Amino acid sequence: MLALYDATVVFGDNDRSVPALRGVRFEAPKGQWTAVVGRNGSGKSTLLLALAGMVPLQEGVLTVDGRPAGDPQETVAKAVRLVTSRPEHQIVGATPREDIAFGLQNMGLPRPEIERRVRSALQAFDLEPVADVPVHRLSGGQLQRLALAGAWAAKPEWILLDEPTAMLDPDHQDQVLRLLDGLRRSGTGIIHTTHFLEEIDWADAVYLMEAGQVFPLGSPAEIRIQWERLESAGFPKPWKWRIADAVRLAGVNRPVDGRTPWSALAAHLAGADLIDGPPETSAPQAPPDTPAAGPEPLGPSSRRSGARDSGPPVAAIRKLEVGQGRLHVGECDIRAGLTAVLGASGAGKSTFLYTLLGLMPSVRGVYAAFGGEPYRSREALARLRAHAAMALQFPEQQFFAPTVYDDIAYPLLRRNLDPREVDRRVRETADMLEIESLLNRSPFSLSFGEQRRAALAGVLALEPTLAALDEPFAGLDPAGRAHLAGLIREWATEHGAAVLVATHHIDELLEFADEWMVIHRSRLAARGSLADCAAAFRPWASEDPEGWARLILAAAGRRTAVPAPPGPSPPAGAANRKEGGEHP
Amino acid sequence: MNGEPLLAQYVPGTGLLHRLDARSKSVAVALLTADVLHASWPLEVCGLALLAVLGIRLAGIGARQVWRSLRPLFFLVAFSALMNLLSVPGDPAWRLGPLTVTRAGLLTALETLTRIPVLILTASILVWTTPPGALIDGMTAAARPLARLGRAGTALQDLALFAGLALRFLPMVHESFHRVRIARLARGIDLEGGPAWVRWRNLAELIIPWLIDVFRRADAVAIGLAARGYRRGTVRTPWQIRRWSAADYLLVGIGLLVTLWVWRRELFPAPPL
Repeated sequence: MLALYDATVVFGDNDRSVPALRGVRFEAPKGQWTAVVGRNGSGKSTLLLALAGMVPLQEGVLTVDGRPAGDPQETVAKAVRLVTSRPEHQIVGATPREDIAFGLQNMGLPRPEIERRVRSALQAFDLEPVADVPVHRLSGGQLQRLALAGAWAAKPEWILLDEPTAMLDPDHQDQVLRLLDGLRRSGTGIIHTTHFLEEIDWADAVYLMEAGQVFPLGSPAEIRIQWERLESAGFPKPWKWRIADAVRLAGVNRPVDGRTPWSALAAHLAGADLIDGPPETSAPQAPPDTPAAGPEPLGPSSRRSGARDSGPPVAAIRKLEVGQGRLHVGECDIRAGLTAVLGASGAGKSTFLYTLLGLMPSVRGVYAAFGGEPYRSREALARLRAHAAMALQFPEQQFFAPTVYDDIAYPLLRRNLDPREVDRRVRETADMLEIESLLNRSPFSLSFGEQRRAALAGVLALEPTLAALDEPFAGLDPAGRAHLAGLIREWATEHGAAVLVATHHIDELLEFADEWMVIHRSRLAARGSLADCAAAFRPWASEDPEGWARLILAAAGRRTAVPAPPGPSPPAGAANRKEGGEHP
Repeated sequence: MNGEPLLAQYVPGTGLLHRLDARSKSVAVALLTADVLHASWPLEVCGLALLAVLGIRLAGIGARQVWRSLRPLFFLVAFSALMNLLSVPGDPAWRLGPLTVTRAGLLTALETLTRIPVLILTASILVWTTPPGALIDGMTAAARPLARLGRAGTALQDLALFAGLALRFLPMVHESFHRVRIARLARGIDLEGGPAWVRWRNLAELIIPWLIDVFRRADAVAIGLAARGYRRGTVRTPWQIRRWSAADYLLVGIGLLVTLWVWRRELFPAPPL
C-alpha cells in the first residue's frame, strides 16, 4: 500500500498561497489501478508529486507498505516511479536506448543488469525499431511509450502517471491504457490522473480531487450509478459512454464500456444497422442556440448547414501541394463560420493551418486569399498577415509581457493602431473570453484554463477575418473544453469570421461546427457535413479504423436517434435525460 | 516545421568511429583541436584538414550533412575572414575606394577560412559519432577514481552529466526559438520586412519570450530528472563504455604522433648553432 494520511502541501510564498493538498487521505494498493479525476488546478499533479516523495509535506505522512518514508526518501525512490505530464521533459537520453539506461544508471545497477533491462524494456514497449533514433524525431505516442518504458525498467512497485493520455490522439490513448493494464496484471500498482472520464473504466478504484481535497468514489460500476456526484464536479458523461449507451440501446448484446476500442464500437453500430443509412437531412425540430457550458448532445447539429453556401469564400485553394508532399489539398473554400479540422496526430492538421496563414516556405498550386496569392506576391502576403491570425498549440507558452493586457495589446500596438482602438479591442475580446477581471494580472499567475483563454484573446483581439486555432482544447478538462468551445463559437458569430479549429477530439465541436474537414496522411480527405465526411472518408477506413469509427459514430449520432429506451436501464436512462430536447 | 539542426547532434551509424569508446575519441579529439590551433599555416593546417576529411569518411557522414551542420557557422567564419581581409595593416595590395586590402590581410583571411572550419569539423566528428550519453559515461568513468575523494569528484560527474544534457536539449532550444518566431508571425507581426535595423530589432524582441520559454522548460526538465531518480551527488553507473580495442589505441596513438609533430619545435628546440 502506498498511502498519504492527513497530508497537506502548501506551495510558494506568493500572496495567494492556497494549500495544494489539504488533509489528504489516499491509499493505493499494490497490483491495483487507482484513477484520480479532477478539473485543471484541483491538485492532481501535486498529489502525484507527494506520493513520489518529491514535495515536502507540511503535515501528514507518506507511507510505503505501512512504514513511513524516511527523510532521504530512499524507500519511495526505490518503490515509486513518476511519469510527468510532458514526456519530452523527462526523457534525457539522446536515443530511447540511452534514455531507458539513464534511470538504471542512477540506481547504480551493474552494467550487465542495465544491458538486460534496457533490452527487455525496448521489447516490452515496442521500441526496438527506434532504439537508436534521436528522440527529437519520435512521435508523441512513441515518446509516451518511452517515458513508460523508462519507469517500468526500474521495476517499481507503483507507477504514477500524470495525465498520460492528455497529449495523445485517441488511438494512442487506447494503446497506452492497454500497456498499463498489462503492467497491473504483472503486479505493478498504477496511479493515474486524467480528464478523460471514460478511462476510469480501466480502474479498480477512483478518487475525485476538488480544491486540494480527495474524495473516494468507489469502483467504476458504483460511479455510474451515482454520476450526479461527478457531474456536479464538472464532468459531463463522456461521449464514448453515450455512444456505448446508444449501442446498448440499439439492442447490441455485447459488453461495451470505456475500454471498448472505437473500432469495435463502430463495428457494433454497423451490426445494429445504425450507420450506412441515408445521409442526414436537415432537422426542422433543432433547438435554438445553447452555447453555454454543459453536456453536448449526441450528434451534430445541422441547423447551420443551410447557411453554409451563402457569401463568398474568405480563402480558396485549388490543387495545392505544400513542401515536398507534406500536404495535398485538392479543392477547398474557407467560408465564414466555424470549421472543425479533424485528423490523427501527424496527419497534417497543423501544416494545413500554417499553409492558410502563409507560414509555409513553399507551395505549388493556387492559394488565394484577400484578393491575392500570398505565396506569389509579398503584397498579398502582407494583406493576409493583416487579416489572418493563428494560435499555435499551447499558445500560453508564448506569454512574455508583465500583464495579460500588455500581452494582448502587443501585436495591436506593433500595428500602430490608435491607443483608444487598442484599448477597445483588448477589453472587448477579454470580455468575450471572460478574462476581463484578469487584465492586470501577470499571465504567469493565472490558472491553466485562464491562461489558455488569455492566450487565445491575444490572437482574436487582432479581429482577424480568418482565424486558425491549433488544438485550443488540449489539456483542458471537459467542462473547460465545452465552455471554451461555446466562447469560440460566440466570437465567430459576432465577428462573422472564418474560424478553423484543429482538434483530434470530435465531441468538443459536435454542437458548434458549421463545417468539418478531415486531414488524413497529408491529404485533405473529406469536407462538408459530418455525414459527408463520413461518406468521403470511407475509402480510408481500413487505414485509420479508429478515426473513421469516431467519424461515423458522430455522423450517425442524430440517426442513432436512440429509439425510446426499451427498459429501465439506468445508464441509458441517464443518457437520455441528459440529451433531453435533442430527441424527437 | 523545418529541417532539424545538425550542429553538435549525434548521427546514428555503425562505422568504425561509431564503434570506438567515447574516451579514446575524446582524448584524440582534444589533442587534435590543440594541434589545429597551433599548426602552422598553410601546410600543417591543410594536413590536419585532410585528417578531418578522412575522419568524416570513416564516420560515414555525407557531404550534404556536413554542409548543413556547418551552414549556420559559415557566415560567422566568412564575416571574420572579411574583417581580417580589410583590417590587417601592411603593404597595400589593392585599393578599392576607401578599402585597402593588404597581402598580410589576404593571408590572414585565407587562414581564417581554413583553420576555423577544420577546428569545427574535428570537434564535430566526436559529437556526430558519439551519443551524448556515451560522452557523459566516458567522462563519468574517467572521473570515477576522483569520486572516492568526495564532493569534488561527484561534482565533476554532475558537471559531465549537465554538459551532456546541454547537448541533448539543443534541439529543444532550437525548436523553442522557431516556435516563438512562428507565433509572432501568426499574430500578424512582420519580422521580415523593413530596413536592416528594423529586422534586427524584431529579432531582438524575440529573445525575451524565447528565454522565458527555455527557462520554463528547464524547470520542467529539473522535475523530470528527479522523477527519473537522479539526485545531485548520486554515484551513477557508467554504462556506455567499452573495452579499448586495437583501433582505440591506434586512434590515440595517431593523435599523440600528430601532436608530437605539430609541437616539435616547442618540445625539441633545435640546439643553438
